[in-house]
Order: sequence, then structure tokens, then C-alpha cells
Amino acid sequence: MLNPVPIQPNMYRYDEFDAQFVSERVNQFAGQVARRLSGELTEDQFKPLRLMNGLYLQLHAYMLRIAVPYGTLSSKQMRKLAHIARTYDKGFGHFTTRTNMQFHWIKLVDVPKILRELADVEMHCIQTSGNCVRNVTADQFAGATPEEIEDPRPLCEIIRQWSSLHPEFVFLARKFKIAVGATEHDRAALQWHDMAVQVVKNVEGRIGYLVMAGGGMGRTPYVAHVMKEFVEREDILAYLEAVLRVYNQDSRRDNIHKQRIKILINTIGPEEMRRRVEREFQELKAMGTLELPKAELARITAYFAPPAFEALEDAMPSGSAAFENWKKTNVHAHKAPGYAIATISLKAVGQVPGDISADQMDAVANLMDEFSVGEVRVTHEQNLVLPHVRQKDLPAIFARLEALDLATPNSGLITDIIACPGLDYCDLANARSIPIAQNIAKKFADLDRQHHIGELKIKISGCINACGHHHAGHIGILGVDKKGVEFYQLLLGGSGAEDASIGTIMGPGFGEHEIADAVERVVNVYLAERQGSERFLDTYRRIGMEKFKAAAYQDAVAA
Amino acid sequence: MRRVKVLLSAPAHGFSAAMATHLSGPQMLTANRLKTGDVLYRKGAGWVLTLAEGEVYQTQAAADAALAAANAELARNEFVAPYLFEVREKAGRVVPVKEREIIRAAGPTVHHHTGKQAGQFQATQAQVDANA
Amino acid sequence: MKLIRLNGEVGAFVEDHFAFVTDDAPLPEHPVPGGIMVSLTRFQKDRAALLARNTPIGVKLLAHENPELLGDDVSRLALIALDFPKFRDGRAFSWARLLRTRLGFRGEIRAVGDFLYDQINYQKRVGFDAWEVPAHFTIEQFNRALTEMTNVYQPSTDGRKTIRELRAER
Repeated sequence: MLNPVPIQPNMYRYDEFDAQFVSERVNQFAGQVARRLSGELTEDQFKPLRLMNGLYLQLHAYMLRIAVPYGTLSSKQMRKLAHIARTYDKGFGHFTTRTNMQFHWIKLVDVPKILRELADVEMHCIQTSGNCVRNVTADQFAGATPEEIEDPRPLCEIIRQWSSLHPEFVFLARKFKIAVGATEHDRAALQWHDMAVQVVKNVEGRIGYLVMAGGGMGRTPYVAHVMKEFVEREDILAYLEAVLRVYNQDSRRDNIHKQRIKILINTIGPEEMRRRVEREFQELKAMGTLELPKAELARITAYFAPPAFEALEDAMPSGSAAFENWKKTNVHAHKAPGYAIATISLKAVGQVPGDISADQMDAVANLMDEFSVGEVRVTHEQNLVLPHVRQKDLPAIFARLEALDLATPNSGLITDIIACPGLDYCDLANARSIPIAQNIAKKFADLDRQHHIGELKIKISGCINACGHHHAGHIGILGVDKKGVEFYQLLLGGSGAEDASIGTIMGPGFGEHEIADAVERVVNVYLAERQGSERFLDTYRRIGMEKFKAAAYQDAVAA
Repeated sequence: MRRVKVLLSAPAHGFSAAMATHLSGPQMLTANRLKTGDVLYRKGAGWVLTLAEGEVYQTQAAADAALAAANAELARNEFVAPYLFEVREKAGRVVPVKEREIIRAAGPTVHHHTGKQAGQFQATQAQVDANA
Repeated sequence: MKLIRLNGEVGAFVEDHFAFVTDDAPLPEHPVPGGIMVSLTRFQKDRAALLARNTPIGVKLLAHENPELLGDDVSRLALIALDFPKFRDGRAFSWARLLRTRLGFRGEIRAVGDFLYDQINYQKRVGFDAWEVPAHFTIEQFNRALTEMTNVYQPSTDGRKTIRELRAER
């Protein structure tokens, strides 16, 4: 089949300044690589520099993490990722919970070449790791959902530029993650971020921003505190800079486990934090240098203008039982009549959550061009989204996705599992995550059963760093190491949505071959206890841990 | 030398030092190749690409000596992060005690077509030998 | 060690006129050419005696020492050295900015300690104007560090035009 003509979607495009910035940054990093290879830089010195450009040394090779700013990709960019997968990796890539793409089989000596290829399609690896402001994430339905106050991505792009090589904040005490949302229903896990911005309207109907800070997972999970209920549009960068400055000045630096902003805020208290931030904020505001001019906001917003939607009527097509299932979970309402949002599942039963082959990337790029104005979104739940599709095209899209093994109708269901790469790849991991996800997905492969269970979010991390969001899973699973053997702790009752909560650890861990059975017993308790339309999370919140715990350990040999 | 004040701070071997504590029994020495990230195993005064070909140190003194030798070679900038790990004999083969090292030696358990288990190396043995 | 001072947009080696007096050493009896630099602890202990001397005074702040601890004395100092205990500790980037903005410090801000070539440009942007570097470090290296990235996205104390401002001028 001929490739369709690549369509440039309405998203931010580099001008000559952005292009020069990224190109010079590539040269700078290439220089750092050369200095490392010559021995001018020791590994100890090189490590923070390479991390700041998304390069890790993992178990088998280097891993390169490529930024997908606020989860938005064009078809041209997707094809470039496929090309990189084939040329420099092993033919596949992995979408992460920060909506980035990472490749696990990279050679250090190839990285400058890869970065130049990425720069050709306006992509980079700037600040995808390291103790700096990371890739900004957003609601994957941004610009498409009828629920939002406005598209949050222009602000994301403004934050991306402001935080890129910010001279004051590239050597923070720890990493710093920012997310932006614009709906009541939170799909971006806002409250779990170091800092989050929610687009809101005040009583006068004016649009501004609510800012939260101090959320985070890891060893000490916290849900964010509200820092300021309403920040005026033009003041937002001044406010974000004020938060970062207080963090950079006042955070501990003596214990790596206590250096995230969540620890600072919960040590001095949110009230004191707000006071310190307000002092910096008022000063920055008075200086005026960070004020966001209306013209600049308008200029950036124009890039994200809605595509020219056809005048259509809502008319959702019907089809096979499989199509109907897919429609139920993977298709969401769009703001334009006759349009829909379609989720592409990267969670086919037995596959690696978030993995995608180069061939699938190319095929998705074709779908993007044919059906979704050249655009796709990456979700923090490690799926893809076609944001603007015509309802009448859904059967054709479904058929194409089915042929690619990308049409599993499980969005939000028990097999739509988040999993970090775990001990199969990661140098920090204590236990594998992916095989656990695969085992659970196989156990619940029956679609009728999945749909009967309803919304249930399982999130698996292979270590306490929590890249797999286990604290925020309705059922969370944390891999631990006991004398070189993998064990898995169960957590219940976490949420990454607007009702954010921290999961509670059930008790001693389960062995690698016991954990999927334990999950099944927990789910059975829910099915027996649920009332009306309760989700798993609702039932847990109503009845508490006890019955679940009794069932989980019933047949298990507790470790 | 373009770095600033480098020579005033001691080179950091923190990782290997930490890993070297409380190990016992037969051990092997591993590292990653700087240019490619390949997992390496110590053999004699050089490195090989597979665990099967690597050297097993039966005494703590031999293991410590191998690590010390590797640490002394760090300034050559050919490999990074050397450390010792425990192995045992199982059905006539040397296998690591910890799951982490089993996976490092073989490749991901979820992609059997990748990594050393599939005969794939970032660099060829000839490239390794040339730089050893 | 050598001292580089910023001269416009380029660096130049200069004589270090300040003598550091350790906390347990007596203050020099007689005026010394140049000036005296002490720790914050020493400055707080011997503040009156130090300020009464007719010599330029410098204070070296450790990474956890907020310059606001100097109070109004900031305006009486000729030099504030900010220490990098290890290059990963980035607090001094905020302290320099604080000195140049809220505290209105116009004297020399000197980077001392364990920092990298790769940090010099950021240091310059937040208000540093002097660097204590090892003997082998060259002016060519210093100047190259300042020019690797042509344009910047954020306003800082260097007053450099941001990319946003450059766009507006097109």
C-alpha cells in the first residue's frame, strides 16, 4: 500500500530560534560524549550530563528517552521513531508513563547521530531525565474532549520553552515533573506531580490557573497540595518560577530519598510553603520580566487551532460484537459533532505494555494521516490516541487496528495495565514487572469477564521508584528483592484520577507465580461485594482492606 | 583538560565499592563497555562478552584483586561501573545467584529474540578484543 | 588556582587580590593590599572589626547559606564567593540570582569549588562574574563555554534578550 501524504497536524512547529536551539544542544551533547570517550570527563561527571539528555546505562545497553512533549506526535515524527527503532535499536520502542518513547538497545557512539535525526523532525531528548524539569505532560484528549475549558497544550508549550535549559533550575535537588490539565475528570494524574496546573474559571468567568505542588510517588508517596487557587494567565510563569526557586533554595541535599519537593512541602507544611512561594511570586511579578504577554499566548495558541472539522451529524456506526466492545471502552466523545476520540491499545494480551514495533509505528502513522489529521497522542497509561476521527470511519479504523493487534477493547479495564520496564531492562529495578503484567492479562483475557469487572486500574512497578505508578493503582503491585528472589507486594485503593489517593500495602509479598492468583482472588471479593454500579475502587473504599486481605492470602504461601 | 577542579576530587568508585561488600562464595566481575553499553565479564586481564567465558574467582582474595585491577583501569575509559557478583554451580554450569545478573547475562525474559540469549551483542568480540 | 573575570561577553584572567583568612587565623594586623575574604561564620563573629577596616571585604558562602543571612551588610561587601561543594548541588544558582535582584548586590560574585565547564554558562546567566579555575583551564575554553548556546528562552539577571523578545523584533 502506498503511504498517504504526511499531514502536518495543528501542533507547535519550530521556528528558526527553536531549530537553532535544538541543533546547538545536539552539538553540545555530542561534545560531552566526545569528552567522555576521550576521558576528559569521568563517568561520575558525565552521568548527570547524559541523564539531562535522556541517556541511561541500563542492564544490557544504553537507553535513550525521547521527549514527546505533552504526548503530541505528528505522523512524520512517528515514522522517524520507527526509523530509529530499525536503524539503531532492535525494531521496537517503548512508550512510558511520562508519555515519552524510550529505546533500550542504544550505543553511546550512535547517540549524536540519533539526536540529529530527531532534530530533523523537531524532536529532542532535552531534560527527559536528570535533576531538572522533565517533559511536561497533559491530558491525552486535549483539544478534542468536550469536557475541557480550553486546550491545555499551548500552556504546556510555553512551559516547555521556559523550562528548557533554565539556568537556575538544571541542577535541582531531584527531578521535577509538571503536568497540565483542563478538565474536572483528570486523565493526567495531576495530583501525583511535583507541580501541576489545572486550567480553571474564576467566579467572574475569567480563565486562569490553579497550581498544585508536592505530589509524587517513589518511596514516600504524597498527593499534591493546592498552592494557589487562581493565578492570572499572565502571571503563570512567574508563579511556577517562584515554586521552583523556593524548592531549589530550601530542599534538602543531604539524603537523596528526601530531596523531592513533596518532602520539603510536607516538612515545612503547605501553609509555610505557600508563604515562601508568595514572597518570591510577588517579587517576580513586580519585576515583570516573566509576564506572559497576550500576544505570545495567542501566537502559541494559534499553532494548536482546532482542525477544520467537517459539518457532520452525530451518527455512531454499529458493527460486530468485537467492534461494539471496542466502541464501549476505546471510543470517547469528541467536541465536534460526528467526530470521536479513539484509543489505540498497546496492551494486547501477552504483549509488553507500552511496547510498539517499528512496523506498527509506521502503520499507526498511516492511520494518523488517513483518519486523524496526521496526529496521535501518547497517554500516561501507555496507550495511543487518535484525537480527531470521523465517527463514520470508526469501523475502518477498527479493522485496520485489529490487523495490527492494536484493537484490544480494554481501555480502562483490568488488562489495560501500566508496567515499568522492570528488571528485564532497568538498572534500578528489584524485580520484573512485564511478565507479571502479562500473566495477569492472560488470566483475565476473557473479554466478557473484563467488561463484567469494569473499570479497574492495575499498575506495576519493579522498584520503589514507582515508574509503574503502583501507589496510584486501584490495585498496585510493587516488586521487591528478597535475597536475589523477586517478590510482589499488593496495594489496594490508589487512584491517579481526580479522586487521587495513595494505595495501602496489604501485607507480605507474593511470589512470582502467586501474584496473579492473588489478584484474581481480590477481584472475586469485589465481584461478590459490589453494590450497584460501584467500581472496584468504590467497593474497596466502602468495605476496606479486611475481606480482600483474607482472600488474597487464603491459598498463598505468605513470604 | 576542560573540566574544572576535577583533579581535586577523588574518582568515584562508590558503586563497585558498595557492591563488593558482603559478598561470599564464588564470584565473577562484570562491567559495561563505555562505547556500546555491552555487558562484559572479566577474564584474565581483559573482558569477554558472555558469562560462560568469564572467569570465576573461587576466593575473596582473587575476586578483590580482579576488582582492584579493573578499578585501576577505569582511567582508560573503555568500560564503566565494574563490580563483583555471586555465582553458583547448577547442573554443571555457572549461574548467577541473583535474578538481576541472570537477566544481564541472558537478556530480557520477555523478548527472547534480543540480547545475549539470541547471540546479539552491541559490539563484536573482535571489537572488544581490539580495545582490551 | 587562577581567577577569571567576566569582561563584557568574554573572560579574562585577573589577579586575585583577596586573601582568604580561615576561621581560626587572626585577622591581619596591618592593612593588606587587595582585600580580605572570610567565611560567613567569621564574618558574623568579627563583623564590626571587619567593617571598620579600610579594606574591601569578601564573604564566602557555603551552599546552604542563604545570602539573606548577611542582611544589609551585603551592600558593604566587595565580593561574595558562592561555593559548589559538588557540581550537582545547584543552590548557588538561586543564591546568585537572589543577590543580583532582591539584594541588589553589585560587587563580584565568584564561583568556587567543584563545578564543571558545562555549568559556566548557566552561572554567568544568573549573575556570576568571576570563576576560580584550575591552572590548566584556558580562556578559550571559558569563552567557548559561553557561546555553545546562542539564544535563551528565559529572562535572567544577565538581561539577555530572550527568544520571545527576538521573535517580537522580527
